[in-house]
Amino acid sequence: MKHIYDDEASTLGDSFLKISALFFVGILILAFTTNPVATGTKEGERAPLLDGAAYAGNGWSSFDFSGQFDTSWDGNSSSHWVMLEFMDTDCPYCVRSADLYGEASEIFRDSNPEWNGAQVDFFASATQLDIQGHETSRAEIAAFRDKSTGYECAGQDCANRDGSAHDYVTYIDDIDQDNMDEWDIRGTPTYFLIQPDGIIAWVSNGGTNLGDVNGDGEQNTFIDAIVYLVTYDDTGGA
Amino acid sequence: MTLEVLDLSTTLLLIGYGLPILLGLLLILPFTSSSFLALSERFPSFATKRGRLLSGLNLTLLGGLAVSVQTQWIHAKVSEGANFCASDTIFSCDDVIGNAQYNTMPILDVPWGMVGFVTFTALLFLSYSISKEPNATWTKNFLNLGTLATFAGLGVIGLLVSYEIEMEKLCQFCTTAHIANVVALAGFWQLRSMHGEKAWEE
Repeated sequence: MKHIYDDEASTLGDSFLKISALFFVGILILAFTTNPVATGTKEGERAPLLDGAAYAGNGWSSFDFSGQFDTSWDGNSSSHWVMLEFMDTDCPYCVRSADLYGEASEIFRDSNPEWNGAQVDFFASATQLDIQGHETSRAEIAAFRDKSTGYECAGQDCANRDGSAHDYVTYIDDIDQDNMDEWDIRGTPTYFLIQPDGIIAWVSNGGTNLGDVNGDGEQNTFIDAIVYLVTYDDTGGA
Repeated sequence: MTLEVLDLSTTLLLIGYGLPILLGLLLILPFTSSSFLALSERFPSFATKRGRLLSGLNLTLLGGLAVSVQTQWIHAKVSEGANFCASDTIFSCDDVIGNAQYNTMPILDVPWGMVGFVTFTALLFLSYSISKEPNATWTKNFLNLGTLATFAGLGVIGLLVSYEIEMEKLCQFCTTAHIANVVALAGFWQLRSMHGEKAWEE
């Protein structure tokens, strides 16, 4: 019986094995020496970028969200956490929660002697939902924050919304919905509690259905998330 | 100058990756290639132009593969929160590779380092196979494929360089991989032109 050998196939097989070996060496190096953290909007993932001008009471200016984080955070309580709300100034749920959000931004601060945890910096990314009657502008966002008159927020003058002016909340212009898309936001308000190293510690489910932070079976607010998760001085860890 | 803007370990790594690519370039460039004839006794493949081109191509692609693994490694490290080559100067690969807006391939969302790693592996397979069996029936197809892939790579390089210009930062490791692609294109192009000609059989 005559055997026919395919030398060309042998060359290809040989080359394939050798180059594949190189490839797997590379993969093994990556697998054993790194532990990458995905960028995303789930708990445990690194928060994506947040673009747009920001308003903190003194006019609109450029904003660098990454500047809020310290990637080498070691769990200390001196670094600031971030609470981020995705909202629309014409969303009735957002208007109703404005009182609580503003109050929380005043409570969880270093300057509050009754709070012994890390400071939480409050942000709100204000969008314009694709719903009739949800037309907004930077002036309206500023009026919502400052509780000033002349603009309508969810059918009422922004000055008449519940709660006080949000002096400790920075508002970010997301009228073009870029941030909403990047963060995959399905409804407003949606809340994110972010660690000082930029990793998302807690995310609400969107709308009014907030996640159960402490596992007690009841729906919790973002305040529960802060109280339960943010680093304290006395414990040294969350 | 280089040492002023890069730390020593980064510079040494870049030299390590750049060396095979530089050697590959010298083997591929028509006016430097013949100077390697003197080494043909030690390295018989250097005796012919085809052998020098294929050796240069293999070396270049190996360097490209290695530096792509490095960029993917930096990508993973930056995502962990570590710093590798962050700098306030224009040379800051952490800022480029760590930029969440630009550091992955559109649509597929695969890190650019991984794209380079897979591409250079595939190109090295093509090149290495040709160097082992230069007169195989698939050689012409492999040369066409290699030329096409490295030519398409120019578009990707253009896109990534535009990102760097926008960020006003330069990633040294990415640039090394880009250079490897350009050198490989020159190698595949010359080999493709030679194939079927008398020079191929010499």
